[in-house]
Amino acid sequence: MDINYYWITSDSRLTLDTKAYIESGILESYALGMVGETQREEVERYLAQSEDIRKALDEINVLVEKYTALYAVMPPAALKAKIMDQIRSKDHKPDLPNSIHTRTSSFPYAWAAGTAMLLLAGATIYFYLDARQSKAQLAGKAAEMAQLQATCDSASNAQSQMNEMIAIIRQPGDRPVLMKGTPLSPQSAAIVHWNVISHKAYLDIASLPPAPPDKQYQLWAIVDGKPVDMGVFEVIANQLGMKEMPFIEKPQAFAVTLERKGGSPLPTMEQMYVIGNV
Amino acid sequence: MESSSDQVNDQELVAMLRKQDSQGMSLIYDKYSAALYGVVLKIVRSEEAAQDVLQEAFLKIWKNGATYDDTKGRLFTWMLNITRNTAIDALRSRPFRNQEKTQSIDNNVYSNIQLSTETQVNHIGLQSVLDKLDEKYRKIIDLIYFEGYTQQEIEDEFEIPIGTVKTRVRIALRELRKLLGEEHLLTLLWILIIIGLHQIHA
Repeated sequence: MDINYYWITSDSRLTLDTKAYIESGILESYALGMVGETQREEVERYLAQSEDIRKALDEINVLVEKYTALYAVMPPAALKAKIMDQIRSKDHKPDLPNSIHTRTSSFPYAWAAGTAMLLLAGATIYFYLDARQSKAQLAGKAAEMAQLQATCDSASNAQSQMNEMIAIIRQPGDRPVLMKGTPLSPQSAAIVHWNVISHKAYLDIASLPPAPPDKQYQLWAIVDGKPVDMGVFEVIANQLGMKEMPFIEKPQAFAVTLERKGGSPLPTMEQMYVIGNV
Repeated sequence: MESSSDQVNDQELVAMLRKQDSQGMSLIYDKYSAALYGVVLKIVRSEEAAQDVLQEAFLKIWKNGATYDDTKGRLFTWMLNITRNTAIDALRSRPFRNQEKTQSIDNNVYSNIQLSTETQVNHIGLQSVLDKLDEKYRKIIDLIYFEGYTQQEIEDEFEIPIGTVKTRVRIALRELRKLLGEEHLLTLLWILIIIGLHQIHA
């Protein structure tokens, strides 16, 4: 390229004249693949230098995409299977669900260490007192240790439930639908995690009051304006974790109502606790 | 292009591609194969060759997917470039059986290939845009984009100086930008109608 787009300002700074570069038409040529190797490298050097130049190229690329899309022709149906077979035979990665479980965090190990230390502390007290105490005091210490054990168990349980929740939220294709409280129960809230890729749905009960003993909550999906039963579920106070619910195509909204135990074929509108649009 | 919430978005596709998750390729195929196939067909002008090229291109996309990131530009542009280059290589290496076909660079090539309305997504939208684009701009884009001429090759063969070629390309794209701006809504409408028809038949 003979033209130099750099110039020196009056206070002796070297500046790139991005406007002139963009107007030279070189980017259009580059986008259409008609420049030679050396010129390609030169354009890429300019692209690296300036956000404006990158933006200008981006606009051209969008234009080319729109233009080529006009020529679209559906390939024959059988071709996809042929191509996917060849791709899958070279696919060495494990399936997505497994890769979530192999996601490591130092937390479980910290909990294991913490649990071990607590157990060790408990055991130390036990052995120290054992040398000097009677059987009654021994029994007392054993009970204390059981209590610590139970606390650790529920804490690490909560931890793994939280990890599961986070994994579901992070999955590609996740579409969270927030259901807000109705006037019947304004503080209530729940979320449906609906996944376009894995075709799974999960319910996260953020806040629903416990149901009376003869009633159960029921989840509904609104599809084509009609409510579809997604199942009943329990609400236990301070519960973590997400419940897997049936997956449905093209929901318009989700809602939860309180129904008799076992659920109803149609929702009781006056007993709607939360609702949210997709 | 479209991005309704029940379509997979590009970010998610890229994530799966980089992780070498083949499910990502299946979704990419569903979303983009028609656009890519159309370009290949226009370049190689034979359904059989086009299918081979599309397969080769998808394999290249898969193999290079682990190293793709957005410094390489938009996902579709990146795939389009790979696909187009594969098609042009195929065009150059294949000896032509019908020399006559290479002379007609107009879009009636579609009538030479037997395509049902179901497989052709947007013939009408395309034709209306091309009708409104001046001949010399249509020709330069055809030469460059669908026949793979470099600017030097155009100067040598058609005796148009490189500077003029560049200017003409620039104006061609500017005109296209105007046309696609207006036509975009109409185009989308036709695509939706024809895809709708296709799904009823399917």
